Amino acid sequence: MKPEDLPSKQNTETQIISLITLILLLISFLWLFYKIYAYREISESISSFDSLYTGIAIGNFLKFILLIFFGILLYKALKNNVIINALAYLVFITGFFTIICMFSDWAALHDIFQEEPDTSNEWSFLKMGLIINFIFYVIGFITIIKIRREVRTSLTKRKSLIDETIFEVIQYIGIVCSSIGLGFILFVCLVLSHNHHVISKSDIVILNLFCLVIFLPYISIILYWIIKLIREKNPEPCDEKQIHDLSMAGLITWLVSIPIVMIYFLIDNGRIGEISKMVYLPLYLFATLFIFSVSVLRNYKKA
Amino acid sequence: MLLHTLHRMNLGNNIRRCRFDKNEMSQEDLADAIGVTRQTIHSIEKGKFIPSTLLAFKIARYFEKNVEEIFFLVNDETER
Repeated sequence: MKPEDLPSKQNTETQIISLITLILLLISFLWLFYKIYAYREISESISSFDSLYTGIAIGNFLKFILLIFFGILLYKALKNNVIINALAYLVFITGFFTIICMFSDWAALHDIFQEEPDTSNEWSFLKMGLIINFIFYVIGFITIIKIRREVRTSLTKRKSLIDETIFEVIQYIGIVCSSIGLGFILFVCLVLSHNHHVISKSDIVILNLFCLVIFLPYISIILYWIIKLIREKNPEPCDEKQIHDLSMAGLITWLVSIPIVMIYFLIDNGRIGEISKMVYLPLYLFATLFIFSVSVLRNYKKA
Repeated sequence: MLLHTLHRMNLGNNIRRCRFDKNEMSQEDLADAIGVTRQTIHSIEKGKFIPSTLLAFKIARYFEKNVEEIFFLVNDETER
């Protein structure tokens, strides 16, 4: 179904929701400047915390409402087959990290309010949160404008049976998630090997939970693809070249992962000791995901 | 000798020319028409991917030609 085929009621609904989302996004964007001001004031004088925190909390509440409306808008757009490109998936990912930042911001501000001796890490988290929010607002703004234009001008692009964009985006997300995961594991290994910390079962659970959070965008996009295929009743998710590329990448991953594991055990060989028990599974998962995604993308783009 | 020559053969195609003959259609339009991705059409045109028999027939049928008019064997050492 093309946008011009949409029943006028659905068309109007999408327009209204996109307008509300756009307004919320602009307000939240302006609130970003308030946050910058508030953070600066708090860093100079902790006594101003109480008065400024109310404004930050209101901003977070607006952001939460914005995220809900964005979810509804994307659902409506995808349900009505409004053609949106990779930006929609980027919004999905940055939105996900924005939610995480809301919690990390709250935790960081709590620590700052408690007047912990060293709050430099907390301030780094807050600054990172501002950057992620900014990226989300920019990508979100472009996406809303694109959706509105698609619905309004009723573009007549054809909907391809095989979704090429999502196939590529999955590989890019795979590369990003696995790179972050590998970096995180390397960081954990470095920290723990210097601290001589005795590793408990809870440490292993916490590390695996962190890895799961890093892995979540990849799982989400795969689930989204499956749901989309079921909704479209599409029996062929990939064409023959994509299946060929996936098979080749699977073979490469299998072949490369064996020496990687062997090298890992040779390097470890009791030197890192307990840490290897902790990081072995996520390391293997992230390494194979990285090799697989890179191989698929390389084969797919080779021509 | 014949076996040696056959081993060196590869699959060439006229898809690009056929597309231009058919109102200069894009790779994307052809991909949509036969249910594959644009990247697949691009790879076949460049000779980087050899299509299945079914896909070759689909492409030929779309251009209303025989398969041999679209796909042909070329010596790997000469131009593809």
